[in-house]
Amino acid sequence: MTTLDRTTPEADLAAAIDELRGTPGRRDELVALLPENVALYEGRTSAEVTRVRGYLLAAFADTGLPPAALPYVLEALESGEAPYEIAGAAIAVRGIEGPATEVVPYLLRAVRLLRGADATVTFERYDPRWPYEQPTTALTEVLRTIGGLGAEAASALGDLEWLATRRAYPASARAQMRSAAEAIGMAQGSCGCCAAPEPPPPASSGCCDGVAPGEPVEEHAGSASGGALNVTLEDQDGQATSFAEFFCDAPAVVAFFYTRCENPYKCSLTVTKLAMLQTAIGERGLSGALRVAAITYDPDFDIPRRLRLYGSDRGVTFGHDTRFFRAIAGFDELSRHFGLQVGYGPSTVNRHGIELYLLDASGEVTASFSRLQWEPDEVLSTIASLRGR
Amino acid sequence: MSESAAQKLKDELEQQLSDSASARDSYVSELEDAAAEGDAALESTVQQEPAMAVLCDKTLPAKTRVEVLDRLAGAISRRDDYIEAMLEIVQDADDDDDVRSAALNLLGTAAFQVARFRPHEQAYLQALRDLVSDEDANLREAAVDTLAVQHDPEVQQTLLAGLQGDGPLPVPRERAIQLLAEDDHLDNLPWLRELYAGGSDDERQEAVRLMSAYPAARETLEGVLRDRDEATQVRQQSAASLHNLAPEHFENLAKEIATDSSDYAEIRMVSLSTLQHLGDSDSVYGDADFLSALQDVGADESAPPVAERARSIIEGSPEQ
Repeated sequence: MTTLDRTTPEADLAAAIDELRGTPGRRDELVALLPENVALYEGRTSAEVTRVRGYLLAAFADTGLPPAALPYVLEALESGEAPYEIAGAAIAVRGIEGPATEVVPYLLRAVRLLRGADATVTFERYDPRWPYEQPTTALTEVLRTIGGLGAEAASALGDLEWLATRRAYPASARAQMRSAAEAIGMAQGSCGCCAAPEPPPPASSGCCDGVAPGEPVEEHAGSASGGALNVTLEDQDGQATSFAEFFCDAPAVVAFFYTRCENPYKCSLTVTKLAMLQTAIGERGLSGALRVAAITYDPDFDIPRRLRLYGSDRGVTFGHDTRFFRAIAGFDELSRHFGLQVGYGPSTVNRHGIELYLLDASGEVTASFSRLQWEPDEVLSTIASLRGR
Repeated sequence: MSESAAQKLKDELEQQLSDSASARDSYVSELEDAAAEGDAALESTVQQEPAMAVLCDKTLPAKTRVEVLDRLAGAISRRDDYIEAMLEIVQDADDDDDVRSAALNLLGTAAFQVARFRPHEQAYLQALRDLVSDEDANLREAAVDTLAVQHDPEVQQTLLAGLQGDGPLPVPRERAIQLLAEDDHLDNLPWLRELYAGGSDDERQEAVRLMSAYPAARETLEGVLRDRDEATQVRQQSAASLHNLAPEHFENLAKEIATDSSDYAEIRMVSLSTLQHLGDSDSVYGDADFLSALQDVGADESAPPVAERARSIIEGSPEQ
């Protein structure tokens, strides 16, 4: 396959994906296109990136879904905003190899995300024009996948039956929920209404090898030590400091975000949870021993007053040990140090993951919560286990 | 923190989360049930059924049907069958355009009631997308407006293709640029530069306003603010945009303009007001050269409001 980068026309990208889709032995080449920071996405708008990723994810239904692609699929189901990408992820699950039971909570999460937010989409070809020849909806695709999992989706029965009574979904979707429940019930060898489903685990409980969040990091993507980073930061009050000055004095928790993020399940939620984490840290008497920070992906736009407003609006209390930053010099170095999951379009971020890192007192990453939603208690537990080492 | 304490904390938090999630689900269910009961009560209100009959009768005069629509406005969002009827009317290209427009307006109003409208969102979105290629310009523009504000990818593709000459534009070119710019994650700056270069005063003002989302537009905004041949309203908007985008650059330029007696009084006033109320006080009052120049402005009665504002700033100095 020829190198795909910012200069590759979208039609050629689609052709390349189609070629790989037809060759399961080359599916790792599809996986290589998933990270946000690959050249393929550089300079493209977020709308283009969504189109490419939705189409790309759906291709795994044909090639089989390798474990390395699973975190991206789960991320789209758990925190996706664009119906097209959620639909692509749901279709991708049909290619899963091995047990799929642990994916079910993520599919149910997608059903909830799409309440009042569903849209007509199509995968008949790349970038089709309205009206579509083979229309479907994201919710339809998610429910088809759940139903198609049969007995493996038994844990979804209770939710599906309850959701099917909810007026918040269109009548057609409620009928699809009932059909999915029936399919699961039939696969179980009994009718769906008699099944006694297990309550689904929370979506962030960690599923599938290699996807569990909060794993201590043995070797991080970055190579330079935190103290060696030549990065100048500016905080929410306009105070400049070096990366080493703030991060190489005490252990720290640092999240990445940007204020123009339009996905309510990413930056806004991350910073809201960071505020909850800050409170919990204070309640555990760890204030002062542990610093809390957030760094913007969008340093040109996120000037100090935006950082302050974004944090305070979400409950963050700023102080000496809790600060939001933008890099005014050395952002590329910072990005390499953390291996940031972010891509940039013509004006701002075009796509990013969910990223929270625990750093030791030398600024080295000791654990990370990546891609999937994290909860403050999980982070606290990881902090406790690292401190106990 | 010990491992057992951390585990206990984890268990407690999980229990709290679980309790709050259950309580929330229960609360939402109660709300939905209450809404459904209210809807059921409405459905039995027979007086409104004749209205529906009139509304759906295409043989009746459009004016009569629009009047009926107006009267039904308050009840629309509470009746699924009303909303479905509105959607049918809107999508019926053979129906009267005035009736369709009135129905579309009502749907837009109903959509504000988010919880009630949820089951219809997808059908509404589909109807709007269909209208983008409607023959009626008003319907087309209304649909494009609504979709663009929602950052709908379909309408964005249609607008972009139209601007690039790859398809018909459903709205005038200038409007298409403004609507695409509702989404600052697109590549809008080249289009905004085009709008600025060729638009009316109002359109140039809008272009400058929208540029405030693009750090790469800073120099353009500075140029507009400096341009004495530019319309005052456009320069004023440029000041606001530059302040939003790059306050430090704005402050430097504002100081320069405010103390330049050859520039227009309106622009000098905007510069001084912004420095006074929104500027960084260290930057304003820590700049001895600026304060000295401001003394001269305060003494220059050729532009009394400017002089008065300059004196007001000086009087507000922490040293005063």
